[in-house]
Amino acid sequence: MTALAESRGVPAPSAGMTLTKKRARQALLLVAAPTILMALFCGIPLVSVVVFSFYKPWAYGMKPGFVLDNYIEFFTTATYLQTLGFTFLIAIIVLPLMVLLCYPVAYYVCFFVKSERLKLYILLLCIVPFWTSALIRMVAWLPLLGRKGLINQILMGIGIIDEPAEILLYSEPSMVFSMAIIWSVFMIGPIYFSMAKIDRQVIEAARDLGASAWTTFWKIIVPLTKPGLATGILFVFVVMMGEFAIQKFIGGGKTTMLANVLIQQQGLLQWPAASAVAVVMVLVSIPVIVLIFQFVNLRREL
Amino acid sequence: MPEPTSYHVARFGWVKIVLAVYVVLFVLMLYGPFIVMVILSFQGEDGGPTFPMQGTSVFWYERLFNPSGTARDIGEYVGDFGNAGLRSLVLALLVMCISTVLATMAAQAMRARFLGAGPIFYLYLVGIMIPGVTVGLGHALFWQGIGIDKHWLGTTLPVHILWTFPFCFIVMLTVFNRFDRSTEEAAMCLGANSWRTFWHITLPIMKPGIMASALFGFTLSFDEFARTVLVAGSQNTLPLDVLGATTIRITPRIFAVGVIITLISFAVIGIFGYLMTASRYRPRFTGQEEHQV
Repeated sequence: MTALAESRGVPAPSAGMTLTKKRARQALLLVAAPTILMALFCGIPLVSVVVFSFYKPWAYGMKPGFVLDNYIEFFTTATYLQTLGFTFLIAIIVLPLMVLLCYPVAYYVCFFVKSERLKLYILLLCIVPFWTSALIRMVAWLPLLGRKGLINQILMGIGIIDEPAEILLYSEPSMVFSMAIIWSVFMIGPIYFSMAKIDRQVIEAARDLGASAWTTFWKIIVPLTKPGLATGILFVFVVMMGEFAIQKFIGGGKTTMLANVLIQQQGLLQWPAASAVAVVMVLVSIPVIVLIFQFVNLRREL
Repeated sequence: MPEPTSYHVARFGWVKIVLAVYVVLFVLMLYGPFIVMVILSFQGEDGGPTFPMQGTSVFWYERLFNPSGTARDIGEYVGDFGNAGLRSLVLALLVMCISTVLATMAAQAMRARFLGAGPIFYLYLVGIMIPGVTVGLGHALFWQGIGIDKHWLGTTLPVHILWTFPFCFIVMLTVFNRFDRSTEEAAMCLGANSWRTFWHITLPIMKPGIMASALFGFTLSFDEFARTVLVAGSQNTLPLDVLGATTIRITPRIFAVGVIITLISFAVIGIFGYLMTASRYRPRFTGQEEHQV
């Protein structure tokens, strides 16, 4: 093999070590451009919001300075604290709900659908709505859930309710529900991905050793899909923290989350205050993200 | 002998039926708004963005392409959907190319062991960990601070790449991790240097993965608004025009926009689907190629 390489005028790698070193050097060259760009693109916003969050608030814009006013304002205003709490409350409700809604779908497709082609079609069916405008999908809930919406009309038509149900739109439950549906692809994808990787022989072995279907599910399948669950929860949590449109359309603007406060302050040209909210958002996300990474080694999973 | 798939729940036939019904219901929920969008986009001229339908028409599509053509003022957001759409298309295509190339480079590099690979891996994912509005605000304040006007391409591109690159990178890494190294080693043994090996062996095999990554990049950028809203400046991208159209008075026109966006997405996916099947790697063992070089 070495002789062949040499006969073609290529210096053969003298030892395994040099080849590894050479590969590492090439890797560093390749990795340089993406790394520098990503460091800049991540660094710019983070440094900016931190710097501007210490600026002096001003009626129209801001003044350079180093004051804690914006943070004091945030942490002493009851509405902001409520918003912070509400954001986490929504996260605590939406994430388990999404797991409950999406896990069975992934499970069905993975274990009950036999034809590979049909599996692909069902998964594609779940992804297609994701390829249309997310904003319009949110707005399109209005004719369904509104006071005069289709669901209310149907319910009244068959006589289940006498008056239109108000809870269907502009309420917390409707917000939670539509978030769960709109982001479901972020959850189904990773769960399915880790489910499909489970070695079927492990399941067979459990069954051969006398485990019931239920035991097999809890002791084999659920633990083995933990990385997928963690990844899905991570995606949804992060998207949720930065989202402001669903609250506006489906929540009716009554109930706001941190992202809405940020957009609101920005609209009022209160950049230091908006930056402080942004910093708080990042700081409260970090422990959650670190916690999720305890359950999944993303690098090994891929 | 039962299939391994059915084996696991052989005694629980009802589980399968319940789950099947559930999946159908779930898909219906997923498609509820989608179907509503399509139906209401053909709402009659006097109808609103809700049921019941007041007849059917293509009035809202006409308004979309010719906003000033109708004399009647409905009090809706004017918008410039055609040009916004073009801007979004240009932006998405650029974002797609840049993030796919960067992701291919990064994933190819990550196959080797080198110092700092771990931290760099997590750095790449930070882009999707920072909440969207924070990224937008941070970039907007930075450009404002150094006195550069916000622009739908110039200042928006970095924000979009930060969002799409991690997804493209994950896709590429997933594909590379299932990659059989022996073909590359064979090429190296036959005297190809690493660049030629990459170009003639790795890249052709990776093509479907690269396509998938590009598709991800395109769709994520084309639909992005949470990051874009604060950095795009005075000229809107398509999602921003849609967002604008929801601020004043919602009319069925927005559903017409939705249908057109869906059609564009389907066209893009169709093109990618075709390219992916057409580009599937077919080894040619004719033995002629090597002599020509």
